[in-house]
Amino acid sequence: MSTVDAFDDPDGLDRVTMALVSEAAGLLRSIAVPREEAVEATVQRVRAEAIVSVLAGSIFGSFGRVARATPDLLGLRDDLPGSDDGPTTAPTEDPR
Amino acid sequence: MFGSDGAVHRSGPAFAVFDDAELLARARGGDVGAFEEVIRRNYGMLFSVARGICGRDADAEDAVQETFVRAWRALATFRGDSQVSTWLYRIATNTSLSLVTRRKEGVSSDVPDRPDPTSSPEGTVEGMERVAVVQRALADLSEDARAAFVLRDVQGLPYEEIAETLDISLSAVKSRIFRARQAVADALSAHDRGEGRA
Repeated sequence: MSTVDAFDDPDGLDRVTMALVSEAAGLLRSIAVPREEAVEATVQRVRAEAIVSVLAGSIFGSFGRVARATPDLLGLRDDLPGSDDGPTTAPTEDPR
Repeated sequence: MFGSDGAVHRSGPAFAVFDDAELLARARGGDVGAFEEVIRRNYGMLFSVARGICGRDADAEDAVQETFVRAWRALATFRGDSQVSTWLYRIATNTSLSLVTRRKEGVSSDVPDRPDPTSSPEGTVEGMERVAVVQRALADLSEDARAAFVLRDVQGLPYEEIAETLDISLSAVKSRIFRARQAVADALSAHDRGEGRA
C-alpha cells in the first residue's frame, strides 16, 4: 500500500505495523488503571460544586430580591400597574 | 470495585435503569446523585484518554476531575444532539490537551509512575521499557495526533466521532492517525532492534 493510500485508510497499514500499534494500544490501556480514591475525589469535588452553585443561586437570588425592593424602600418608585410582584410596602391608608 | 469496562460500580440500583442521557437529564434537574453515577460509569474511559494524552497518572487524574467539573457546570448546554460519551470525550480531550499545554515540559517521557499490574514478573522490566518507548513516541507527536491515536487505537472510537470530538475533518483525523501509528510502530521496531538502548 502506498503512503497516499494509507493516508486515506490508516487501517490499511501493513500487518507488522498494525501488530505493533495494537501492542502499543494494549500497553497504554494496561497502565491506565484509575484509582478509586481519585474517583471519589472527583465525586466530592462535584458535590462541592453543586453546593456552591446552590448557595450562589440563593445569595444572588437574595441580591435580586433586595435590588428589586430597593427603589420601593428608598421611595423612588411608584406602584407599577400590572406588576405581578405584589405589594412591596404595606398601604399607609385604610381604603375605607 | 472496577468492572471489566473500567467503570466504578458502587452506587445502588436506583440509577441502574437509567442510561447516561437520562442521568444527565436528572442531573440538570438538580439530582447530584445522578451525576455521580455518570462519573462512576465514565471515569475509567476518560482516564484512559487523559492518561494517553497527558502521559502521567497525576495529570490524567487532574484532567478527568476537571472534565467532570466542567461537564457539571455545562449541564444546561448539553442538548442531547450527540451521545453523552462523545460530549464527555470532547471535554476530556480538550481539558487534557490544555493541561499538557500548560505544563511547560509537555508530556512526560519518564517510565510510568505506577507499574503495569497486568505484567508478569519476568515481563515487567521489558514491559515497562516498551511502555516508555510508546510514551516517548507519543510525546514527540503533535497534540492532536496524540489525541487522535488514543481515541482511535486505545478507545476504539470511529473516525467520525473522533472528528467530532477534535473538531477537525475526517481526512485530518485519518492523516494524524496514520502518522501516529507509523511513529509508534517505528519506535517499537527500533527498540526491538536494540537501537536507542544504553
